[in-house]
Amino acid sequence: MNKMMNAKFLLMLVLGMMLITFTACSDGDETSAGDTEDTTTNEENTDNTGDNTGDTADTSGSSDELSGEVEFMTISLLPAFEDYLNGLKESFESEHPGVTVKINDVPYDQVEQLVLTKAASGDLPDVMNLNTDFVKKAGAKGALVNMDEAAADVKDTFFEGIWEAGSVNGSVYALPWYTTTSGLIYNPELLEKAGYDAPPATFEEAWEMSPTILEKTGAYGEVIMPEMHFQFPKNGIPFLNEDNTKAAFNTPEAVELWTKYKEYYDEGLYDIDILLNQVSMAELYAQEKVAWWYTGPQLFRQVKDLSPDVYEKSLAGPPLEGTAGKQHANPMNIAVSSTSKSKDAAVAFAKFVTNADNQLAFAKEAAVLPPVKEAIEDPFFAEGEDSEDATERGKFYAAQALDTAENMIPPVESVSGIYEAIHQAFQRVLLQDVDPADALTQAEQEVNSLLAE
Amino acid sequence: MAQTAIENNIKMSNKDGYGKKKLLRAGGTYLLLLIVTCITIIPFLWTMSTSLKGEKDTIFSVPPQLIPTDITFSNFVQVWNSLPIPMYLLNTLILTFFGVVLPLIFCSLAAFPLARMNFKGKNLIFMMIIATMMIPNEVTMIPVYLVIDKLGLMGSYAGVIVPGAITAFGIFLMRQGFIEIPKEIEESAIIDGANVWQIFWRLLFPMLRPMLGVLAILSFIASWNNFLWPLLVLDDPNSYPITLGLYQLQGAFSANTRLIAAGAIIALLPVMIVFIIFQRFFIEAAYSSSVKG
Repeated sequence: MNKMMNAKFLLMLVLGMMLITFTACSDGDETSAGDTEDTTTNEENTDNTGDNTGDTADTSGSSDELSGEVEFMTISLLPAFEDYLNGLKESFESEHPGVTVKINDVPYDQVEQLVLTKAASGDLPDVMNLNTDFVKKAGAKGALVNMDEAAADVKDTFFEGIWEAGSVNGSVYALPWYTTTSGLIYNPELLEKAGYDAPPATFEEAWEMSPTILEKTGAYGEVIMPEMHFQFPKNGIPFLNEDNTKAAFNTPEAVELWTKYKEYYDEGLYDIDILLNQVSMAELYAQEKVAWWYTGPQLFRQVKDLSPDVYEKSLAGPPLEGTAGKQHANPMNIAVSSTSKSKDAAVAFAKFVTNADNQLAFAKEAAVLPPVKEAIEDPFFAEGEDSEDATERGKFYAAQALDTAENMIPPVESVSGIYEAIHQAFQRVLLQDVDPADALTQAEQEVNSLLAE
Repeated sequence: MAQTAIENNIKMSNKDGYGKKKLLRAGGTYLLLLIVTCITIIPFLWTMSTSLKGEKDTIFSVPPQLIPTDITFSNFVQVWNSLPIPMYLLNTLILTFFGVVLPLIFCSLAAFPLARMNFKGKNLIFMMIIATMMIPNEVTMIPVYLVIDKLGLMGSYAGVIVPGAITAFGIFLMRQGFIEIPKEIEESAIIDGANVWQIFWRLLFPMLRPMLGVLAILSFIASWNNFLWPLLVLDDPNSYPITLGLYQLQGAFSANTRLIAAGAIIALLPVMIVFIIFQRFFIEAAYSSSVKG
């Protein structure tokens, strides 16, 4: 009896182990099954004369020497853009039969942790969709392929100001995939109630309108948003000096700007929760608690999801302008891992994803803008000025703004630290009544010591 | 649920005839419990009510509006239709099954000699195991990732399960459980002719039930909520557990708080059910550790 019990227990253990290995195996099988399928499609697309045995001969015999597996990491694009991404994969694979592309979508908040862990173990995805801040961090650490060299042939197809976005320490480490500039979505009903028949055109006008709007409608007008650090370059205050070695934002203009912001805050014109990212602007706008939202038209659809009624009556206008009259273009980038096992194929795929046709297709689908000159000339971007749809119209104005847009992110590794220092200082001004001049001086010192590291 | 059981215990001890002091103490306990309950339950209630809110209800109001006026289940329907929820739940179930069963077996196997046997370096080994509890997960993440990679377990469920199959805390808990069992029980078994394996498996292991219950619940919650590790190891979205699957509700250009809340509630329900079923083990554990004092 005892022995039987022992035997049973052992059996259970063994079974358990087997189950684990089994699940592991079945997983592997699935992927390889998927791979074979892909190869079959390639075959069909490229060559329909040969039978199965001719497959290897085809690949080695073709003039295309690219081969290997390319893992493409995207950020929070599935399932919304599944068809588009699969289309990219399939057409690239049919052009290069030796290459298989694997798409791996990861959640936005986890990208940094994931990339750092994978980088430390030499297991970075071959091609990565990275935001500009992170390109600078990873590029400075030598984890990315230098695109000034690897993509010299396509460099001139991009807008220069946006190509430069991927630069850190003098080299560019990513290809711009798509970019966003701002538009303005506004609620004409709220403006009318407050006695205005047009949205503001500049930040200054926006702040002037805000007290009346708040008084008449209870809704906010202009507010300070989480990207408040860009108010510096938008108002002609540079983040850093010419050679990016020292902070340059501690100017009388900056002190004046922050003094005004502090006054507006004390008057109750905006809520600090917005600045701290505790409340989403989309949500506030959808609930008619704010009269306009200065943001990229690709985000207007969030309002549509949240409240179709409010979206319906919304209109779009040109983005608000600061005293410098410039807009910030924030590109999403495609970077290639410097440790990729199939680097040539990965670089080719990165160029493929960012070519004019594919950028244009994605721009149309996601209401973003292509940073390739040829793509922006498409009539699509000249349309929409009179559209009833806010996103359509916003797209028109955002595309117009691309002419005056530049990437305002400082080309140094410690971008996040710089923003953090500015935000901390600004919060001290709002919450602890610190004098703006003192707060800016402290932020300047912090940034200087960050840059000296 | 656990709360009411504890409250019942307090009531019972009052019935047994204790003085006013005890009553006062019970009152204090109630108050404290009430405050803690409020603090812990409000975020949950907020999520619950957000998931039921229609378009017209506000989400981020201050003070929060907890009772929706425009009640709808469409958020749940939309989540259910847009993601393969049953597949994700099944994946989570597989991961959680092994995430619960393996620690129970391995931790008690490791704890048994540490608690009931005498050998050289026993305390040193135990101290070393306990010391690993001081190291935060973030520190060991990269080395563990490398090990899993070298073992060829990347992308497989084994890669997710193995690192959590035995934990220092589990060994500690099980050892505690073994120590509390009186030595006499073991001695009588030896006299009856039982060998070590029989003592472990037939006598002591069943007596560990309350501790096993506690470890099972803790491992269950840990495996069910596991997020970052499966994300690092798994690369096929079809093998994602529910925590990872739900993340797809948050897109690069869209985020609907109502849907995300509904998804969170869907993922939470099974945990609640398991907790309700197993909560008596918590009470048993509380008993078993308090009897002596």
